[in-house]
Amino acid sequence: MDSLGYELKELPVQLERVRVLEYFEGDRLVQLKSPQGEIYLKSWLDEHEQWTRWLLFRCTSAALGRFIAGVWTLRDLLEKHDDGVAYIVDSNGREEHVSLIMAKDFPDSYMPTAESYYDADLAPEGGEQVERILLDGFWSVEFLSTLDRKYRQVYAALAAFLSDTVTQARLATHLSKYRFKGGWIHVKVFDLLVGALPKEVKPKVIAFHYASPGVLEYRVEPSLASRVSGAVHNLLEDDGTIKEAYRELHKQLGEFSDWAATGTHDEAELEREQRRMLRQPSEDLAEALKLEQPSVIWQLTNGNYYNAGHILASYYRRIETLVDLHSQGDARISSVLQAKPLIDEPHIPLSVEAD
Amino acid sequence: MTTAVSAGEIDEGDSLCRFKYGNELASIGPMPPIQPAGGTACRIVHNPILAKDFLPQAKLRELDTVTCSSWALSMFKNHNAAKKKLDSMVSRHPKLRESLGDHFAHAILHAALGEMTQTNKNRHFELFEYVDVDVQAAFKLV
Repeated sequence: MDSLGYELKELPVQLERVRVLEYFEGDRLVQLKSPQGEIYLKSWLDEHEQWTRWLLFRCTSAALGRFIAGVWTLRDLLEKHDDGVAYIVDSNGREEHVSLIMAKDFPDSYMPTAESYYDADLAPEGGEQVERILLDGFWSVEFLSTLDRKYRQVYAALAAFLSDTVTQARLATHLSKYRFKGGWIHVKVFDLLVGALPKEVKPKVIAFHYASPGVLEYRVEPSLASRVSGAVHNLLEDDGTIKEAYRELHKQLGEFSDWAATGTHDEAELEREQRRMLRQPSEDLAEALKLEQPSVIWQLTNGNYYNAGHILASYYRRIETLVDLHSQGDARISSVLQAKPLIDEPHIPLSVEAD
Repeated sequence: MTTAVSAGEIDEGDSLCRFKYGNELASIGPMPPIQPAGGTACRIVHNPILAKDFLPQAKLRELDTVTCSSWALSMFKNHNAAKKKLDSMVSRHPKLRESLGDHFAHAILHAALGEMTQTNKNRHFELFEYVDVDVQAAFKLV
């Protein structure tokens, strides 16, 4: 391999490996960080016998977010990065030769093409532990607060809807006693769901690029974050089935409330009627939303379809908010941009018999 | 009919010696879930096929991080899947076409060759070769 750029004794910065972004018969793209937390990318360029050549360059969190989200190409990252210089690192596993290269001198033969979008399928197994939300337009602190709250609520609801014992045990204590009466019913329910999340899987804000466009980064549990993006993607692709199921459930919840408010009804009558009016629309919405284990909602609400219906309807509205923000371009979830639809899981009906 | 073997179900120390790089694999850690090789396979190679085309990456050079995958051979179920992935990778790393090759060799795998990971959604899987097996001989350049 020909020498390139200006030879250096060593890299001027100590870098720590963060994760492999692309792997195919060896690392192809690796994320590193400096002691100051700056992000560097190491991209495979070439190899000859025992030597491997890498391009090392600094990039911002926002730029990396755009690349991971499929908005920018690797070529964009190289052309738009501010440093104007990068490092060429030739390594044989024991020795390293480092040189500094001006961006303008970067050989065409190494230049990624205009189609060099990130291929998330090449990320090693284990999943992305960072979820990025790309912000754009004129957003405010209030907007951020709403976005953060809705994201956490949908994330927590999806965790609660799985038969995870830790979350279930916590929720069973609180939610089963909840009366679904008074003000702010749904806010309180979702507070319970968020509160029941084990600390180690809660989304944690790890970076915020305060600009427009900006980026909000969460450390997440990959399986839950992928369910959130799957839920948003599912509603984005809705042919009207989900919206119709929601409208029907919402209507039936209202009619049941009106009926329950008229006259005096004993417990048995209320139980019979809520089952008659709300079971089918609740099941329909759960199915349309492709919930993996809707029977869990039934367990959490002790078989009360009125309460289960309220949770489902509220859950739908929170996803709808994320979808609106995403489709307007105000807050785009990066993993949704990578278009990962929900996998159709075997449907377990929301019913007593299924438990 | 194949039987999937999950990580943890096998006695890593003893049973990995059936693999060509069993000692190396045993020193790395749990194997991914694998099953006896079978079905169609397509591998990215040079034309003509070079000896290095059927060597795992860890055999070719010193790697920063060595995983079980480093001792396996990457394969696809069919030509289209292999071409699509190669095109995608070359868009970001143009010299990969020279390094990995830009031709495709096909084979019908059988259980005597080794064990393979589950095929993922991109029709990609990894083959862990058995000792004394010539996997390359099973492949024909297309």
